[in-house]
Amino acid sequence: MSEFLEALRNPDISFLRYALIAGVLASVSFGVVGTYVVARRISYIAGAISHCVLAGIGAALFLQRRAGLEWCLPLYGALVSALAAAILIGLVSLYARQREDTVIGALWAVGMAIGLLFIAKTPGYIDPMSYLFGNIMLIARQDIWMVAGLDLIVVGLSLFFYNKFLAICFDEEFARLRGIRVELYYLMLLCLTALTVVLLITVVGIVMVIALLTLPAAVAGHFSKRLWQMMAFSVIFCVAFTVAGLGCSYTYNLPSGPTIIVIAGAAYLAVMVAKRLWQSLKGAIKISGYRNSSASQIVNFKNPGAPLEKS
Amino acid sequence: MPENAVVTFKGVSFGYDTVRVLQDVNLTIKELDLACIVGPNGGGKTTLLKLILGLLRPKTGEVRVFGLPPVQARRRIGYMPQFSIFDPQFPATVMDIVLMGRVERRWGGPYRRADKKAALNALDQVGMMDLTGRLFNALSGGQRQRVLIARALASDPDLFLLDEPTANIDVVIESKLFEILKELNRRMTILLVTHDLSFVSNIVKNVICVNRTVVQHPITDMTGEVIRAVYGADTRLVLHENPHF
Repeated sequence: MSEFLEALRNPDISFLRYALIAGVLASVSFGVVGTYVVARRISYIAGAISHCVLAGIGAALFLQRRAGLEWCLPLYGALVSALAAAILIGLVSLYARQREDTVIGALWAVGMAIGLLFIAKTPGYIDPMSYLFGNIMLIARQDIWMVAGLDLIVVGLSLFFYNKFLAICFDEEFARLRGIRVELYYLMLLCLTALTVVLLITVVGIVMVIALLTLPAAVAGHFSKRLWQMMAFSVIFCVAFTVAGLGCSYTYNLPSGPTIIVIAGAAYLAVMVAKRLWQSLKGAIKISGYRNSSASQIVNFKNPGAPLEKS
Repeated sequence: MPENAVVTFKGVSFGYDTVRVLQDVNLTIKELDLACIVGPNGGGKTTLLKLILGLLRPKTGEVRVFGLPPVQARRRIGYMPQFSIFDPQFPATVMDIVLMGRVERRWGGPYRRADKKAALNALDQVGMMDLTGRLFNALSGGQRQRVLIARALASDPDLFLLDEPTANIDVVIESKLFEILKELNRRMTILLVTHDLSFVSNIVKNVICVNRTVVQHPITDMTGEVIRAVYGADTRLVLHENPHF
C-alpha cells in the first residue's frame, strides 16, 4: 500500500491521482442513487442504460474524427445517450407492461451495436475495450470538474426529492393515489441513474459500472433501518471499494475496473455468508432455549417466521 | 345525485380486453356508511375498488366520488392495500411509512413539524405510538396492518378504502381492527373489501355483493342461534332477497 501512496504523489502518473479523486467524488452519487436503484429493484433497467452509453461514445468519436467537430468529446456523447436511453427505457418500462423485459433486453444490445458500428467507421485505431471495461489512463484533469459538477446535480436532486422517491420506491400505487406524478419522478430517477453511470465509465467501464451502483447498496441494506442510512453506508462502502480497488490494481499491476468490482463482489458475498451464519447461530440458541421452557408451545402458525403478536 | 352520497356509480361497465368484469353497475354509498364489498375471487371486487380510486376508467357509465371524477377526489380518499405486497427487505421505519400519507403536501425537502404531529396522531389512533422507530418489515402482520391504516389516516381522509383487511390475520387481531374502524366510522365513510362471502363482522352497516353485477343489501338484525354457536362471536346474517350467486 505504501507503494500506492507514493505513486499518488508522483507527478508523472497524475492519472492515478485523478482516478482516485474521481472515484471518491463519484462514490457519493453512486451510494445515493444506487440505494434508490436497489430499493426500487431496477438494476436491470440501470444495466440497460449503461450499455446504451456506448452508442453515444461511438457517435461522439465518429463526429469528432470524421466530421471534424473537435469539441465533441466522448463524454458528451455518453451523457446525451445515457439520458436518451433513460427516457426511452423508462417509457418502455412504464407503458409496455407485457413485453417490458424483451424490449429492454433488445435496447441493451442495440445500444451497444450502434456504438460498435460507429467505432468501426471512425478513422484511426480505437480500442472499444477502454470504454467497455474502463481505462483510468483516459482520465484528465478537466474530468474531475465534470465529475464534481454532475455529482452536485445528482446528489442535490436526489436529496431534495428524498421523501417523494422514498414513497414511490416503497409503494408506487399509494404515492399515485396521493396525487404524486409517479411517472415523472420515475423518469427523473432513471435520468439521475444515467448521469451517475456516466461518472465512472472511464474508471470501471460500461459493462461493470452497474455492479458498483448496486453492490455497495446491497451490502449497506444489511445494516440499515432507513433509506438514508442505507445511502450513507453505501457511500462509505463505495469509497472503500474504489480506493481499495485502485490500490490493489496499482500494487499488483491489475486493470482497475475489474479489481474494484471483484473487491465489491467479494465484500457482498462475505456479508451474505456472515449474516447467514449469524442467523443460524441465533436460531440454534433460540431452539435450545425453547426446549427448556414452556414457551416452546407458542408458535405463530400462520406465519412461523414472524414474531408473536403482543395483545 | 342524493345530497350526501360519497360514491355513486351510474350504469358502469368495465372489462379487460374481451372479458367483461362488471356489467351495468348502479351503486350509491352514503356519508358515514360502513360498507363491505364481498364476492367470489374474480368477481370484480378489486376492479370496483380501482374504479373508485380512479386507477381504472369505466368503459361506459360514470363514477363520481364526492361528486367529482375519482382522480380529482383522490386526496380525500385514504387507502390501505394488502400488506403482503411490500418488499420484505425495504429499509423503512414505522414513522417513515406513516409520513408517506402526507407526501403530496410538500414540493420537496424534509417533512415539517405539522406533518410529524399528524403522523404521531394517526399512530396514536391505532395504538402504535411506542413503535415509531421500529423497522416496518420486522413487525407482525397485525402491526403492519395498523401502520398502513395510520398511513392512510395521516392524510386526513373523508373516505377510507381497505383492501382485504382480514386476510392473513387471526381472529383476535381482526376484532381489534374492527374496533378501530368502528371508532373511525364516526367521522369518515369506510368501505372494505373481503373475500368472506357469508359472514361479516357486526360493525358493518351495508353489504355490497359483487359478481359481475352489484347488489346492495341492508344488514338484518336477525342472528341465528346456530351461527352464534358455531362461530362463537357476534355475526349478522346477510339478507339475500333474490339469490344471485
